Amino acid sequence: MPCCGGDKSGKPISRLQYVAGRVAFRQLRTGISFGLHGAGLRSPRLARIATFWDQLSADWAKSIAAEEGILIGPQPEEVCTLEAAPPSHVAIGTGADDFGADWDDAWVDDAAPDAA
Amino acid sequence: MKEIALMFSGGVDSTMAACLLAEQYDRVHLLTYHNGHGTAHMGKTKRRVEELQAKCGRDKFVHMLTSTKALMETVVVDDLVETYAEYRSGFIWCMGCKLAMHARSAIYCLENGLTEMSDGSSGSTQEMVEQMLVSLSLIRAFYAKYGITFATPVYDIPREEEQKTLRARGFRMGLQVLGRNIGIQPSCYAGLVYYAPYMLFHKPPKHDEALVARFIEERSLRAHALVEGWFKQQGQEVPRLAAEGAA
Repeated sequence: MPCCGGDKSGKPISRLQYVAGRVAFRQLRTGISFGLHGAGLRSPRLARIATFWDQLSADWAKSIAAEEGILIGPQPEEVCTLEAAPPSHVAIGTGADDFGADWDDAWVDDAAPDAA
Repeated sequence: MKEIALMFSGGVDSTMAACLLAEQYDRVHLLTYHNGHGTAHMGKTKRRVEELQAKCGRDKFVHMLTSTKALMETVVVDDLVETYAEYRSGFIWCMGCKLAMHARSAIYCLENGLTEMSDGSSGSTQEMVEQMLVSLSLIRAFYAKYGITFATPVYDIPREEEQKTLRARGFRMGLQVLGRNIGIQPSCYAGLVYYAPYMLFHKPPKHDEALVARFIEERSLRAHALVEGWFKQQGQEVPRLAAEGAA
């Protein structure tokens, strides 16, 4: 989207933040509309601003309800990068030789008792 | 005498710009505006000017505080509903306000023979429509018509660096909340409301570059007409005055 950024732009918010934001936005919208329409009774210019606000805030409300441009969910987890070489105490192998006979026996006994 | 004008609110960016310009110019003209539509606490700017004068020298700064209400109404408020139907974004309010301020700044520069103008636009606040690169390049073109150059001296300085520098110089920094400094500059309630979806939901403002550019180009014509009208009322022609300033 050809849009300016801002450091918070497009960053995820939690579901709780979203719900709380909608409550705050509704109160803001109603409060400002009430104030502007009241003032607009005395001034045609303020009446125009009140109409502008009604249209702008209605467009915002629709867009917020549709979650347009809003990312709800957890913060992306940080990805751990692998070390170039493993620590010295870590052995690397296929795993085929790492289990002794005891393990093989235990596996057969527990996993397939009927075959014993 | 080397002089420059700076659009000044007293916030972090414009204070940092004032400090930098004070080092390079003999005098910095600080221009502060209120648009008459939800701006308040203008006294905070005056206190910041006093701080600057105490730290950099009383004669270093000239301060003008004036209204742009009538200019803004001509640029955007008088046909606000029709304009919104065309652009479908609230940026028209903020950009219209800013264009009115630039028109008034051009008038100030022309009246005082200043050929350099600046503001505290910052790359750290790109969410603001008037600080988008496309907006700044068109504003530069707006001033060029009068022989005035327009600069943004702190655009590339990170916000954290500005905060650190000003704090070290002993400036009041207000209350720092989410990286912003609260209580050091006038409030613009319309601006706060406009960025409410961004603050509440991190929703990017609807600032399509092509639309922003079209709006600025179209409304710049009104702003130019205001500048010309200002001087015509005094029986003067703008180009002659600009030439005097450039000289």
